[in-house]
Amino acid sequence: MRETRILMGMPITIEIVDAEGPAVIERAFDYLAAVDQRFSTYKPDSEITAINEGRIAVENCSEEMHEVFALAEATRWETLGFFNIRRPDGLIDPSGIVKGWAIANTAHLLSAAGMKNFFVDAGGDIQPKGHNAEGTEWRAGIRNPFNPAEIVKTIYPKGRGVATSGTYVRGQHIYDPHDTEHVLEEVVSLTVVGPNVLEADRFATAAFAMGSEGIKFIEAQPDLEGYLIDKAGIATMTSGFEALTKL
Amino acid sequence: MTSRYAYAAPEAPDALGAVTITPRPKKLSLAVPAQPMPPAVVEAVPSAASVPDAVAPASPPAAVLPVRPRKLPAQSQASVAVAPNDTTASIDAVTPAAAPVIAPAPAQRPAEVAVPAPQITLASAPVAPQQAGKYKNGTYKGPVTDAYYGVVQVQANVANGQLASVKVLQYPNDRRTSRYINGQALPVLKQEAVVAQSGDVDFVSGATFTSQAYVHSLNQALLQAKL
Repeated sequence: MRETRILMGMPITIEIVDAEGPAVIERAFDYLAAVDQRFSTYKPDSEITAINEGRIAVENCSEEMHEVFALAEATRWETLGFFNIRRPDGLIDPSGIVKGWAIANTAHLLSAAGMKNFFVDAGGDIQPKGHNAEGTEWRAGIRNPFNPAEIVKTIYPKGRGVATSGTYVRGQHIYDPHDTEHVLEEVVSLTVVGPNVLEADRFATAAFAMGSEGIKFIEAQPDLEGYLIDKAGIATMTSGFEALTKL
Repeated sequence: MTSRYAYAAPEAPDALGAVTITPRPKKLSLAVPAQPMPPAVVEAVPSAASVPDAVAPASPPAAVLPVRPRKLPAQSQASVAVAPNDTTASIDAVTPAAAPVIAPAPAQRPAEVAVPAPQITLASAPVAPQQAGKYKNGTYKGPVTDAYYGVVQVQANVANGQLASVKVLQYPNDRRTSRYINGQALPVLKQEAVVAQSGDVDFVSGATFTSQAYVHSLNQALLQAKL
């Protein structure tokens, strides 16, 4: 059973290979909708909006919000400060960590419901478990940043999480927020494979922000592998990445 | 009540007299308390043999994630004393006695620094033909740029009209960086030209949006080099 819905501003696909009632997949999407309701900076009645508007003190926010803030803060420390949920305008935008966190939690929810073979894909960040419908390892493609209809690599995550950070559409760049005249475009895509999708996602986000140095940062982490594509179409991979391309 | 997490701590850690970070711009003083900067220098290496994974930062994050052992051996971190070569930097002096310190890439490296500062060498990589002759040859320093978390400064080296390498002159100071830069040199990472592939996949990983922007001085360095 495979279903895609638009939540958190992106397509989220859940495929469950195991025989299951529709109730399980429904619960998974219900959970993601609840996350969206709490963490969306676009919703005027979300908790994060209330915090940003000063209606709820950080000290009094929900356990989930505290967990995400703590994760974000830990990530900031672990990534040289490159990961930061505080925007230039001073407001907090936790979307950089909520996505991976929510996918990981959804995978836990499915596992707890007895599911063994499934994946959760939220906007290109994926947590696979078990095997695919053909009974073989899940195959992940890395999207071609120069042509979203193509892939440039096939990898077998084998239960590990996969996340990609980048800027794909031509003409869309990453700007220096202090000076939007200056475009940062050296690195166009960085895919990270980690122990789970939360780890992959938070480090992909931070390492992408490091520019060309990001792949070295990933290399220095023993449990992460990465595949960086620059604007010239040259990919740089970590030393353990190639093993992921083999069954 | 006091906050449960370091996240809400109002003040930056002040354990590291050696490094001064550029004061944060006003944008950070709005609705929520300013967050602490990651410390510039936060650990003393207890011994060359043990990897100090659990070294507490000056103001550690309250959420303790699983500690990551590292690929890099600890041996080569022991003695590093570097002085920045750029006086425009906000980093005044970095001369620790024992602790490893990440510092801007020094022009004149003390003898005990065994590992060069990170440098990206693009010379061997194929370069898109339309880029040829885009820049004047030479070395261009970008400005010291405040990037929320500290300062960043890069130097662009242009050869044959193309960006040949980028040197990071200044980097945010943090314990992880210190190990990364002062540790054993990373292996040369394999490169390849990306080629569209065929074949079935179950799902595709790709970026949908980028929520983090990064302040970088490379573009300004290249502006100087523009023909």
